[in-house]
Amino acid sequence: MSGDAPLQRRKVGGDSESHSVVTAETPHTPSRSAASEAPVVRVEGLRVGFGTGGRRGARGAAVVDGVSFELQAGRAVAIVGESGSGKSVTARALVGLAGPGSWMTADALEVGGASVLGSTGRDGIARGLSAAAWRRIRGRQIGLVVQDALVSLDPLRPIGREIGDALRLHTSLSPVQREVRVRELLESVGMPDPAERMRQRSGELSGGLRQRALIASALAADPSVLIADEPTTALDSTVQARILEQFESIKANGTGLLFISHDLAVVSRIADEVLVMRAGRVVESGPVEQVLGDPRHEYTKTLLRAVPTGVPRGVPLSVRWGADAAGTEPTEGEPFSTARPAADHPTPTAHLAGATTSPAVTPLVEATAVSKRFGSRTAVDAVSLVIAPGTTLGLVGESGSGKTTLGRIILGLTTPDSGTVTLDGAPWAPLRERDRRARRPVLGAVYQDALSSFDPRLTVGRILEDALRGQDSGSGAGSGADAGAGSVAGVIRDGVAGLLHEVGLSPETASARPLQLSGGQRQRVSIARALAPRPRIVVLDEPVSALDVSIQAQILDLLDRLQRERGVAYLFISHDLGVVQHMSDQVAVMKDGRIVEQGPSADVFARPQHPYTRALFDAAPRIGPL
Amino acid sequence: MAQWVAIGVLALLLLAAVLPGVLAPGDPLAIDPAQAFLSPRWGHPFGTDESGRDIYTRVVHGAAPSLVIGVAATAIGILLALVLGLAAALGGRVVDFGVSRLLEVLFAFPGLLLALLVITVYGPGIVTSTIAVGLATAPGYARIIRSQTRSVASAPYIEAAVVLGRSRGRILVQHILPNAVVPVFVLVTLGVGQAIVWAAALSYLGLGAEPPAAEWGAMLFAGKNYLATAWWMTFFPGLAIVLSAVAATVLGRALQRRGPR
Amino acid sequence: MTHTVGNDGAEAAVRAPTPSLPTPTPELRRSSRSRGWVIVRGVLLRIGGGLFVLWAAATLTFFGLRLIPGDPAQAILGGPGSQASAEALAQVRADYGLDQPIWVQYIAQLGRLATGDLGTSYSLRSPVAEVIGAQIGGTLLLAALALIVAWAIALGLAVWSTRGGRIAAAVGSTLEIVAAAVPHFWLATVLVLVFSTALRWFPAVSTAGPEGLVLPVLTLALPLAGFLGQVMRESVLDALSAPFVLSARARGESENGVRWRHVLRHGSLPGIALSGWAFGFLVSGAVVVETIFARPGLGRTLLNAVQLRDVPLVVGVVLVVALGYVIMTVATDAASRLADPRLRRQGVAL
Repeated sequence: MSGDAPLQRRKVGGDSESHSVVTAETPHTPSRSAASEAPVVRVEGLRVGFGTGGRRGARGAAVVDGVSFELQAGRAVAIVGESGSGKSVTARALVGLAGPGSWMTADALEVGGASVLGSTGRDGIARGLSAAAWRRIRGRQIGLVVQDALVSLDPLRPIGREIGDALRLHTSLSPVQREVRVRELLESVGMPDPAERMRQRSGELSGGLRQRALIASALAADPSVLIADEPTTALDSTVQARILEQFESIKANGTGLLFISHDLAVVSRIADEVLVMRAGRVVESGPVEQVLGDPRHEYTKTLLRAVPTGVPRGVPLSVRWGADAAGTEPTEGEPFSTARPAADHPTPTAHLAGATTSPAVTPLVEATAVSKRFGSRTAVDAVSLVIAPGTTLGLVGESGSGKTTLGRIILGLTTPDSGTVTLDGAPWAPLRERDRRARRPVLGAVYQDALSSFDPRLTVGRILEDALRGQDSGSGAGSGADAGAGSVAGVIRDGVAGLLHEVGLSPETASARPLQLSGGQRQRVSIARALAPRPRIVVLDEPVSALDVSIQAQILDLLDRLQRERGVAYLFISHDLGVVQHMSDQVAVMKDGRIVEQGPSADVFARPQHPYTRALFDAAPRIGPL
Repeated sequence: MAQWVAIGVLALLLLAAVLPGVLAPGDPLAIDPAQAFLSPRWGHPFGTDESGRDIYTRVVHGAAPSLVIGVAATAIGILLALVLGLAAALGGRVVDFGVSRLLEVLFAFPGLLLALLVITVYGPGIVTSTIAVGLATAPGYARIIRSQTRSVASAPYIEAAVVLGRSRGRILVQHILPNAVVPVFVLVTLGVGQAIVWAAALSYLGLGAEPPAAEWGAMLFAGKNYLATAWWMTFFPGLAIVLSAVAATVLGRALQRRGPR
Repeated sequence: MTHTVGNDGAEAAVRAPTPSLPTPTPELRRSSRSRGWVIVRGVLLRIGGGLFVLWAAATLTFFGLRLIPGDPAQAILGGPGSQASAEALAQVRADYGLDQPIWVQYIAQLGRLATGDLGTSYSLRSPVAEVIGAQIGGTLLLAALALIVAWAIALGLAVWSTRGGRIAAAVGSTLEIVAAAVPHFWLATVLVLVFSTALRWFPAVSTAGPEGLVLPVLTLALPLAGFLGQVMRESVLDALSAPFVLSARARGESENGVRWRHVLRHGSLPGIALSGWAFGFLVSGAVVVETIFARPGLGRTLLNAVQLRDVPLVVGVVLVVALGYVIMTVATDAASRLADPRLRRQGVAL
């Protein structure tokens, strides 16, 4: 009963009228994508918004405004944009799940040749299909791989049940037949040992396997269209590469793919056509070679320029927008450091420390055979590294490689089990915190989640004032700051204004609370706080991972400029090879607690020696030759 | 919207407690046997009790003792909980272990039972029942304060202060205590409502305030024998308790939502 | 196909994954091999902790009650008012071992407790264990019924009020807050006034028959339902906005399917976890409810004992309740782990 993989069974249930059903296992069936055939999805002038507000059609502004595209079977259309661009809402509107309180209008919205707009009301808002009609489309005609792969399967149910639900809803298979089919599906998306895995819950699976299970659940009822919303975002780059291969084979099987992503490199690998979205509008669209190879619109150019991969050290990634665009981008930008022209390729600025460390210079930080275990897990395993003054050491590795623990050891927040760290030639760890405290100003830190690193009660001004008042030197001297009266307070106030200016924030920011700021602004405050005690080295742990590419570019440029101006050294921790390559003089590659390779950035990136480094490089998505 | 109604109810309660004469000029203890067991009517909006005392006047004048008992019991509970909770969260592993075990044992005497034990030892009465309610609520508060303080103490911004070279003492005073204590105000607001209910329950069982006193629980105790004939004797004091408790809860929840993150 | 189709999940779950897997992280591999042991060890630790709690409770009450002013022998003979002779007092002291050093009394007390001997009631002149044995059934029945009713009301309200739009949500949360704030004694009064005095549906004084249980059970259940409903609604709302629900809808799941297959389970998790606490809440409430409805039971026995300062009976009831609480916490802990596989992978938080 388990042997006959029943191909014909998958035709049952749905209302599959015109298009043929394509099998998932046989990879090279002649695809149904003759260019002349009707598109599987046709969107024309789609507008989506939220907040119908009053009952008389007083609707909120559109967050998706006039999106049009056609998706053919066996082709991939990608929508690219930053957060708030409306790309996810577009994807979800296609299955009628834009969200509670949303409205939708369109000139045409067809799935499999049939309109899903329903009747249109007097106010022009589409009534949409009935709930039951939508349910026949969801999963059966359009599969949706939603964002946040890690939490998109019910943690209380086995993944086999989750995937089987689509079959239960859209086919008339018996429970036993469903189980057979689920196993086939898991096999077809590259899940190892599917019979075992289908009884596990998502919490028992790694990120990559969860994403495969999610894809299997979206493909279960054999839809002709698959929408994938940021399907590779939370994954390590090696896993990301394998998931992308999976999508390529899905596409090759004749499924139409709508791919939503912020990552241009990923898009360049998978898409045939690209739509670039910004603030709800499509600013540019066309074949991938044209849009990414020869962009017309300023915004597309900005996005492309913001990608750090392969951009030499010192070359700015961000560009000030033209006057019209600046008006619509109020939160970001460097209002006080607009010296850089929007030239296509500005010349790299020389870094004072040069590319290589001369052995004569005393290392600022030197870690020797540092190890740290948590229970039975070795987080850091006999790691040695050296950071010279004024240079950047890039520490790159995937999640769980131990790079954050290593950063914390150097910050003196985690005590190593063995090995030593010296700071400026003097012992630093292990050491009693009290003995370390006087030298704390030498070292600063910037975290990935800036918001949680600020005391929620304090304003930006208070946070920076606090950082400017020196460290506690001995008994009770810290509270003496108040005794210094007006002059000290005045100096500190000037200091706050100076810091804000230096990181490109307006003086008014001082009275704001971090919660009210955008992600990029928070990271700027975080950088300002780290720089306040005039440190000689700053440990940056994934400082741009939570930011959009264009904001990331601005922050990276800011860090670069501050390094030149202040001669500060960085330990730059990141999972992103491109960012590390762009920022670092020296690179260390970490895996399972060990540094498998380290050396001058140029050498390591040009000639990676260790197999893992090479694997990492191969997996890193880049905008390939188009 | 709901929190404004709640604030209004609590303001009225406070007015009744501080200046009962403004709302009800009569004497809550004045006896008039000829007017006994009157149902609610003009002149006696809440009716009268078995001695002809005006229930409305008594409910208004009962606000002060009920509120004082509620606030005092909550204060006892919260203070005890602050000591235990902060010690457990900040006092190192040994203290934490000891306090946590103690709390676990106290949880095995649920609410009213711990209060009844205290009353067994010290005998019934208004002071004992207030202390009893305070003690009975302390373990719950202590556990909440402990976990809140621990999460504050391990927050990334505490580490950021360490990196800036701040001493333990200064971090404690500047960052940990203020952030850990702010949510306690929410607990107090929610707690006063519950404490009023528990104290009234003890009075109702005849273990708290004694009947002639114009205290809501004691009025309920006095009225329960006449339930079938004079429902207003228990209904209105009970309504006052419910309104106070609901208002405190609604306000507490509103504060909770508004709190930092 | 090597595995039989239709294997039940539990068996497959404890089987170790085959070594051919490409990238299982070490933690995952370890956890699935030893999951059975983790559960067993968790339960053992819980039972050990429970025994500790019982011992500590006994110790605490023993020494705590030494704080009672006055002579216990006097209390046994009827309190300070009784004119007991010196000989009678000496006799009582010898009978109850009150002339022994305190630690001897303490050890003897622990020994008696370990054998189930809770002493003799001062007021009823009969063994405490017998008194409790006769009364406990009614209270357990009352508490169990109230727990079930509260659960049903809370879960129903949480699921319904998160479905019917803004008005239903407001009605739901208001009902929950009011229910949670209403004291048992007043609720009982109102229920009696409406359903007994006015409508004459149910008796005001509890009778032996099932109709006598309706009002006491409702009185106990409604406030508990308010508390449970608040936490359940929160987790129902969390589940409804979780990505896995969007995922289920995108699969074509109906609103009923989403609620039945996903949301209900997530919504009931905090309710399960709170059941140990709910037991304490119900016992506290039983003291009031049994008194109001004149129902025989542990609560009313306790109240009488407190009023008469019958120390052995008070201690006996309190210790039995503590035992019940410990059993409930072990049970709810096991139930939580059964319902939420995520908890099984964590260690035991003691």
